[in-house]
Amino acid sequence: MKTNIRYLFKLFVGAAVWGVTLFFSSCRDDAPELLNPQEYDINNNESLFLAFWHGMNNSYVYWDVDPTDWDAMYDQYLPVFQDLDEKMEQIQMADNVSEEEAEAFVREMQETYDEAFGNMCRNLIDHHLDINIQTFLGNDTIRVNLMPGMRDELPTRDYYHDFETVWRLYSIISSMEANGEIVDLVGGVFPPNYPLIKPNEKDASAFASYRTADGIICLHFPTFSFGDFVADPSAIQTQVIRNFQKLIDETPDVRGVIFDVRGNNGGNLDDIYEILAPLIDEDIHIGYVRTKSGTGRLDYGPWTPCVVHPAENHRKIDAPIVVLNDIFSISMAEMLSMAVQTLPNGCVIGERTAGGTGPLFGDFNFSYNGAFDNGTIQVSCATLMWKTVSGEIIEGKGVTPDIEFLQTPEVYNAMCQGSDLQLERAFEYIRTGNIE
Amino acid sequence: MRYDSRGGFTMGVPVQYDFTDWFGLRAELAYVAKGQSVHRTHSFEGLKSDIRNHYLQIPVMANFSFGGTRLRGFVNAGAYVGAWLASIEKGINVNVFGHLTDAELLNENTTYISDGKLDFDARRDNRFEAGLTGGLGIRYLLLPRMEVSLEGRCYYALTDQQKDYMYFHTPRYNTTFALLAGISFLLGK
Repeated sequence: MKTNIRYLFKLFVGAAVWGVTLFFSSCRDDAPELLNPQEYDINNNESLFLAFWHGMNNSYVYWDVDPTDWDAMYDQYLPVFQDLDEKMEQIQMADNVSEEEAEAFVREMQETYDEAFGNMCRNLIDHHLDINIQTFLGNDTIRVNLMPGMRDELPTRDYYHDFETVWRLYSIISSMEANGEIVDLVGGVFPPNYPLIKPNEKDASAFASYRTADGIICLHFPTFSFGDFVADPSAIQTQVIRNFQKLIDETPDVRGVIFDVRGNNGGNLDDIYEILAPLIDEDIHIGYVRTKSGTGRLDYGPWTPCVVHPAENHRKIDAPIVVLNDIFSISMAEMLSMAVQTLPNGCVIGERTAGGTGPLFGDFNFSYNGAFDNGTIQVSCATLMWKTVSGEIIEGKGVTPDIEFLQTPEVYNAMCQGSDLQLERAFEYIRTGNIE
Repeated sequence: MRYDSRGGFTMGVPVQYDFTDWFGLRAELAYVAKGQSVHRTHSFEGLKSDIRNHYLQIPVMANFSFGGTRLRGFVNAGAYVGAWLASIEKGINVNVFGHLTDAELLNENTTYISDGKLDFDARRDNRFEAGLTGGLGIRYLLLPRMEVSLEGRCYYALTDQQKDYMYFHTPRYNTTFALLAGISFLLGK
């Protein structure tokens, strides 16, 4: 009897312990249901808002440093889109809706979209961010296009100018050739039907490479696209870059090198092997990148050094290497600026640049973050976050020049009159070393 | 993308008090190496990240034993608390300036081998862990005051590795299986 009681007691205690164990094992939180933002099913205003909010929540690479309270945006604007759906349902259920009432609702919907998405994205720091939202209401289209960095933040800077810095650049270069100031010129105005460049002004964009009489080799280019044309020897881009590389190779005493990336909107990372890699003879460490490693806003992989190797055909240039930039220089133009600033003979002359330093891969599957497109919402943004070799994240701030040269109205007028004062400042720096 | 568990090492010092010949209370101070791996697949095959997380844990368990005098089986059931001491990452990453071509994504120029300590982020990381633990094993009385044991144990975390710092946060819980071999010295009467 006593043995039975002892046995039953042991059994009870063991069962109690395991019962408590099994009870507490159900205390883990379930993972939320997350969808690939490119596969979100959007069928009303609420689902459109959720697709955008979740897409940015999981994909945006700058949450570590961005000041925007994204959860507060969810709390504030989800009810707004739910209200829109309620109103839309009421209108659809109503028997007699006048044309004026229908038009008023379309206007209300457009205004709500503009205000809500505008406010949500206003302070996002990714200066590559380009958001397009398009949805249909009957025969009407509701459209939103946002570029919080380039369109909203940039104009608030005290040195902002809305004129093209390099307007008439090629005309000026042609004049320099006619005057004998430069030789071995290869270049031309960028084809007007090229999709990346606004063909509004004559000479608005120019590819050119040449040498001054005293051995300063210059390369002007509006976009990093040499790699796209390298297989076509007749393309102006190919001719210009090959001329530049030939000048580097064959000029006996190189007095200096100038890269003009004013107004340059970036492009291929690999172009650095056509442009800078031929001028170095050892690896240079130009910065660090990291990308997302999970769906959490603060899930990041390790910082990976960005190292540029010398080109197969290279020649070490000890003379000054100068980059000309301006407020519109972005992306690869800024990375080239930062790369040159790591060189002992490097110098950047110009304005603090746009601040779009995060590389874009364009393939969402690379790290399941960055740009996404589900047909209704297209978001173009950085895939990786960049920091300088000194550890500073300058997204939204830009590259600070070594020698400041602002594009004032006087400088613009001089350009219109045929004088590129910023280029002349670069020549002066190379010839005299004057940094004042 | 493929997630895998990682094997590791554990070592500890246990203390057990037996109230009866079949029931006792056991506590340990143990180091446990936990971890996980992320492997990329398809066109990104070769990229990976191996993470090692170092924990110091104190399990407290009820010990139930059964069997003979020399050879006995036992069951442990209880809870544990732990501290996440450090995290090390080793991986193969892309050097975005490594002259990537379509023909060959990964080579010595296009990759960077990472190997270093991961910094904790106070906004994100939960340095404290707690959960349930249980095990099944056998012990053999080798000498009058020395026994050897072999146990299969599970640590089932109930606390998230990360804090709940964002809406729709995906929780991460450690579930660790360990095979423990030990020697115990019997004190007292």
